[in-house]
Amino acid sequence: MPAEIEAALSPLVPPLAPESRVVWPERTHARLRCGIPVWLVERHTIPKFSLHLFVRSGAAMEFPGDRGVAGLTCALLRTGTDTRDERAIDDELRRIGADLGAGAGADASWLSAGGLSEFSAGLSALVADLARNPAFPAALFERERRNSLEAVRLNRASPDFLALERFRSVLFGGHPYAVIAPSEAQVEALTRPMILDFHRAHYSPANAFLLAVGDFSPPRLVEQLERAFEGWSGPDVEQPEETPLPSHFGRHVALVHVPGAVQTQIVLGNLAITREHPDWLRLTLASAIYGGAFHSRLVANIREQKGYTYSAHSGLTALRRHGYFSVHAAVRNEVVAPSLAEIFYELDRIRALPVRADELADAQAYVSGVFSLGIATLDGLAGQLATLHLYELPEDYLETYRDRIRALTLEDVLAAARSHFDSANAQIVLAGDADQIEAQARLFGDVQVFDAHGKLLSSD
Amino acid sequence: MRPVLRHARWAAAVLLLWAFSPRSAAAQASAQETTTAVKPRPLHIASRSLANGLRILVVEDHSTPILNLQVWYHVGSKDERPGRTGFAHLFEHLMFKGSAHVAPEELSRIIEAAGGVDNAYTNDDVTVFWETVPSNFLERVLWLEADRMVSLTVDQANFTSEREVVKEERRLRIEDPPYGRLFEDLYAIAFTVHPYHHTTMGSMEDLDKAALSDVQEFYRTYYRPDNATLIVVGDASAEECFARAEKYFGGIPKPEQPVPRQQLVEPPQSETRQATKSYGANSPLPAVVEGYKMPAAFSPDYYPLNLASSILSSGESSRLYRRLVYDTQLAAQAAGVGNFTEDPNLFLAFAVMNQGKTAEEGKAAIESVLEQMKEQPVSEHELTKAKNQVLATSIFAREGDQQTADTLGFAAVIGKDPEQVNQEADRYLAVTPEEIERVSREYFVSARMTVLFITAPAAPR
Repeated sequence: MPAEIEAALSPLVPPLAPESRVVWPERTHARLRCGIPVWLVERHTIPKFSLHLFVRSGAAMEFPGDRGVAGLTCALLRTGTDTRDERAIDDELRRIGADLGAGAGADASWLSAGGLSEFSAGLSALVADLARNPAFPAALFERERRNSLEAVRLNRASPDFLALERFRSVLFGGHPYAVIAPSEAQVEALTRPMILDFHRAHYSPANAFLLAVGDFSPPRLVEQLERAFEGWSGPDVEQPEETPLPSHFGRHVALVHVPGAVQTQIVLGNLAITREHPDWLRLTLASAIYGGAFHSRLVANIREQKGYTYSAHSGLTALRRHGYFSVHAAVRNEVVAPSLAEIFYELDRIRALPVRADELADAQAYVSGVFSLGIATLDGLAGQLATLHLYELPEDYLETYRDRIRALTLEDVLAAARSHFDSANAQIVLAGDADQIEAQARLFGDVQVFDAHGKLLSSD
Repeated sequence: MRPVLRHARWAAAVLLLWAFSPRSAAAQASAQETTTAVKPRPLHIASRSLANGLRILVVEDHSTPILNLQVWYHVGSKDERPGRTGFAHLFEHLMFKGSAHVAPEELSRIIEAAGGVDNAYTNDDVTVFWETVPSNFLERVLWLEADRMVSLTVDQANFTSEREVVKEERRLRIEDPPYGRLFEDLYAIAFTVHPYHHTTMGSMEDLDKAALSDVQEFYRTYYRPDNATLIVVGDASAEECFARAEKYFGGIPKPEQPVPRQQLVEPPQSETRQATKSYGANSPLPAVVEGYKMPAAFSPDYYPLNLASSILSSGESSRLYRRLVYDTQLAAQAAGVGNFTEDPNLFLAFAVMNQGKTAEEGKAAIESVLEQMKEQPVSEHELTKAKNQVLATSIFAREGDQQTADTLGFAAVIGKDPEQVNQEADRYLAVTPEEIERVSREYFVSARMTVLFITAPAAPR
């Protein structure tokens, strides 16, 4: 606990007991004969283990003509392989006591399985089979494509989805990161050969890695993985040429018209940095103080003091090539302008003046503590390891994270906020009822109004 | 039903779209063919009650230097008086507005500055406050919880502002999301007398009626040591927990009058109730939800019903999902869940239809799946898998301190006996196919059913 907070507490507050030590789990690394790297972390708290296969290709590797292919490929992996049909896969999962999930983000696709430790060999074999030999049965392709279509339709009815979708589009322009989900028409245009092509081009040991976390003996598990992935081969994957990002000058407002919405979703922010940037941790702290922690300036201002919102927060998002800073709040329609004014007031304040020493100390403890809690579960630990290896961060990134956070100063936070919270050129997205909020929006920049399907309705 | 949280930072994505998120790619499956090997290891529960009635439960687990502490108050939205729906949850928010020695919002600040996290939630039956912290913060967290149990201070300004926050929460969770009002509307029809008639979020109108005077009355009535259970799971010694709890909570007086309990009993339903609604453009596909009256959590039929629920509705290999999404391709999403609570509640089955399919087709398909449960006994094989699934889930739920504390609190407060967590494996293992058939016949019947149809908006985009 930071000394500044200690001093401010009521004298009745009991003192702290000595801190217990954090023990880092054993981490080992191996490379299977087929070339795929594997990282293994032992943790023996419960008889469970999880295995994650990451492919370093996600939605950002799609072409405009096959948007949605990465996600649909994942959904189809469990519908059948050359030797197992869908029901056999389900039965096998039940038999060995496992759950299985698959998905795709911007930079990666993954297949994750978890189950009771004693069945690690069977589960490893199943994961390998799904990744290597999917059959993509034609009838099930149609079923899954239709399911995606309905999911896309439902998304389009959610104001928070619409706000984020527009924000990413504004921020990233023609870059693949601009798209967070395919349109209905794009899903309809997907074909089975596109799935086969995407799988062939990207699911390859040269483009993948494995993480295993939990209750197992590493040499034995490596043996099992060797057997499961023996002979897997595939092409190298070339990274596509980088698409230039748009430059943003001045604040602009994009308003997604949701007729009848009783609340407005605000998302605003700017392009920022990725985890490799030397300012990453400095900016992490600045964002925690601004709006990342519950006890942050933004939450204190627009939630605790003014009652404008239930949900207010800021955060950094780092994809492989680019990152951004964003502020989010869902506010009632009458207070859109006052909320924006306070959001910018707090942004300008953290850019102009150093934060207080106690705020810095709070945020350091919070960021490092939440990090520690995050790795206390198998899934949390796997998530941190995935970040580490997906973004090719230094090997000791996790072990040194807390010390590096604690070493930062008031000047570090101020400099990072000034460099990367681009208040003057922030892009503002509102999803709500244009009839009720458009005039308020106009106070903050010229306004473009879109419908839920991205059609431009009006423009200043 | 979904609990309502103080703030949604960590749990939002999961909880907001609990019912209708784009379907998850994960499918829970079961464990071995034989059922004996996968029983969860028993929890060693140390238990103590203070003279003022506060019950303390401790499970030691020293594997990581953190602990989860929870205070369960046995009061939820079913205890609200008429005209004050939503108040129990509003009150939960007010518990962060300061006490004699702790400034407003200071509690969360202290926890975050410890590198910990805290939150709270309210459901029909309970209000739960929790903190996960480095284990050397035990004593300080006990002190914080004791201070707000005995000396909450809420002024008019705090009250008014927090009420606006809660109203925004209602707009965020219920009024704006697709199908956000579905369960609110179903419960309003299914229950006529019992307060499960209204959901925990309450109505805007009632939130507006709530006054500062209600706060003190509610606090005095329900926030007291003999209506609370303190749970600590993690890196702490039971003896130390008991001693520290005595030190900080022991002096809080126990009021003379007993805690009032909700006495209203829902009269038996005699025929199907149904209604049709349209939620407009933001709910673009037809949907159907059915609720069947069923008994309370921890009643004898709870165990076979939970297994039936697992067979019907757990994951993509479940019968409901298979029939509606895979085989007939009527629905985009289909699921079911037994909403087990302190008083009898509903088994819920729901489906969001594919475009061009109707909610009535969804209803017919759900019911044909339920009919099959009544007419053909489940095989030993399928039942074994369901048992393993339920038990494997219990094993995996022992991983984290918080999950363990959640399970313990539910058994202690709703089940009235924390040791139920150690007995339920045997109860599940003893269930026979005949019992599954019996409970299916008894509860999945039209006289117990309420059905709500959601039609697509008249002019699709």
